[in-house]
Amino acid sequence: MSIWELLSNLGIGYTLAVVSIGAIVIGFVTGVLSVLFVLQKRSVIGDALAHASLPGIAIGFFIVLEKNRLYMITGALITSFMAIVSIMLISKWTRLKEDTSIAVVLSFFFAIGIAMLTYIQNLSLSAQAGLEHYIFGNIAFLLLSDLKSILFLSVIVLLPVLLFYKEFKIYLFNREHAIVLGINVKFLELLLMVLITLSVVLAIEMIGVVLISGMLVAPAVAARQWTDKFAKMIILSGIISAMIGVAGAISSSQSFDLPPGPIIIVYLTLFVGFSLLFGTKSGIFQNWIHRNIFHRNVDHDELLSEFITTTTGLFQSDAMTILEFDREHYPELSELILDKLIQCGFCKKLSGSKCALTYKGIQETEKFKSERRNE
Amino acid sequence: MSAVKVSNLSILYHQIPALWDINFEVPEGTMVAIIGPNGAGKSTLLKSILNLIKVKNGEIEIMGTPHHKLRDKHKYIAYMPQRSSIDFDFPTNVIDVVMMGRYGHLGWFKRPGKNERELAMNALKKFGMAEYSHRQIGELSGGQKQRVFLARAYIQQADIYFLDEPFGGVDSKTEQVTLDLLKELKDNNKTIIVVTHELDTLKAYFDYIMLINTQKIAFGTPSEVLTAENMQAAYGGLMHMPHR
Repeated sequence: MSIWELLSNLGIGYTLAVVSIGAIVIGFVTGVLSVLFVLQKRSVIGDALAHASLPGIAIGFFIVLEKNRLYMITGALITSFMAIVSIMLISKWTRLKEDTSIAVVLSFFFAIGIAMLTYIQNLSLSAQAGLEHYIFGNIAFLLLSDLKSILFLSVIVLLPVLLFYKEFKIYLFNREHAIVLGINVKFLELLLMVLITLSVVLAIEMIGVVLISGMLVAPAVAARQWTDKFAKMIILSGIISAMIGVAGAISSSQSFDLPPGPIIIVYLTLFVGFSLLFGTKSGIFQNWIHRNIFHRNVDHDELLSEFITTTTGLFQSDAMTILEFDREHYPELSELILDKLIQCGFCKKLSGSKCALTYKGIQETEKFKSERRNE
Repeated sequence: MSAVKVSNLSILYHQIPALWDINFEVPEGTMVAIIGPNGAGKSTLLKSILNLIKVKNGEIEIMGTPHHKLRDKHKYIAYMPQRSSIDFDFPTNVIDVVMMGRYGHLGWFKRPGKNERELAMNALKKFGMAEYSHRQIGELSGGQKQRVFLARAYIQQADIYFLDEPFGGVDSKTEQVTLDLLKELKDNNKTIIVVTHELDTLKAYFDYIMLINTQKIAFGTPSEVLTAENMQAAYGGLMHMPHR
């Protein structure tokens, strides 16, 4: 009994099985990549990459006049790369900020892509059917042969992540430290860009150009709310994205002729919202509990020491003549400590970001400082 | 041999010099402070020595080799960045950050293992941070964060240590731990270069001081450099001499 017979015995049709497997694989790959992408903190670039891949896909189609994945991927890689280079050159040679040049380049490439696709669709070719899916996505027409090339491409994308896991981690955490250690950061940046473009190309049929950047951001954001470990975040993000991908693909194939892209993005966004609220690591709910219960018993000395050390400028004059301070000047002074100081009656909030020490606060800090001097 | 040699270094941002014609040499095994007012180019100088800023005018030599030709950089250079440059929301914990100090030694493809974990744990013990080894790095106080980065630099076992503002806004324990480490490194004939503005209490520790304000104002022993005249030249009328 083949796997397809098994699936059909379980009530899952062949088409749906192929579509589901495709969605799971594509979802997992984009989920994994999204972590690297989000931690690189350049997520706007992804939007540009995705939009710029459209003319490449059209050119790839144009050359062979059929939907050949290899040609379309190569085309997408080339035009995405051209877009990135133009963004870099514009930022370098002009005084435009990077986000401005991204917007300029993105809309230009996208316009060309749309124009070319429209042109192709007006030709009367049989093979052009379904090219419009690259804009909003469609997965219902996925064939077994497509599945093979999707799997192949997924391995190509995931393998470098596995091989250069350590290098990516140190680069994303602290780029300067990686450079000082002699790690080739330029290579990693280029590699990451190629991998992101490849995953865009991989997911473009399912999600579509317009919504793909959501797929490259949302899974990582959701995963971060449930873990604070890099490796776990990668795996979790992949799983979240795969589950939601398959849920979206199935919903799309079951009902109303809706394209999967928008459905997947809606599901993802709902899940991100849920995670932001209830996530165990940095969810809003968890933080509230942390602030109100976990930190109820805080050591006064530690609190004052932290306050004094994070506001060194404030206490440079031993006479303590400055009682008012602007917390914006002390980025290291955490909200938590300030809240606690206020609760203890050592500090009070003035207008805006201004705060002041109370009489009690002055006495306590003075006492603490003289004790420390005598140590 | 000089540990670090800087020749004719100028750095321009949009035609405005951040550093202008800097020349100095740091002998091996000495401890040097780079000081100057805010915006004087202290961090820019450090970053150009570390090759974090592209040097177009001038030359940097590390242990007698031009920086861009330096191989196995991790054996020569350890770096403790300013805390404000770090993303403390990154999903990683204390011991993982410390182990990153060994990533250069591991080379491509190899993963940190038991050996690295042990080195990292010992370093954390040394800096009084063992009990925090599995904390997320954002869940630490400013001083504790600094001790994590000291441990990361420490396990690298390099020849030259660069520290950017290690005395800015830390508690007394961290200050003490930092000073102890500097002394230990110096006893082991390591070279130490520190960017700092809190010099008053610390000048006794340094062999040389580099006083800059875009240009070199003075380089020499503390007593040579910290004259009223030099301070006036660097800080203008803004600062009076520390008296004690």
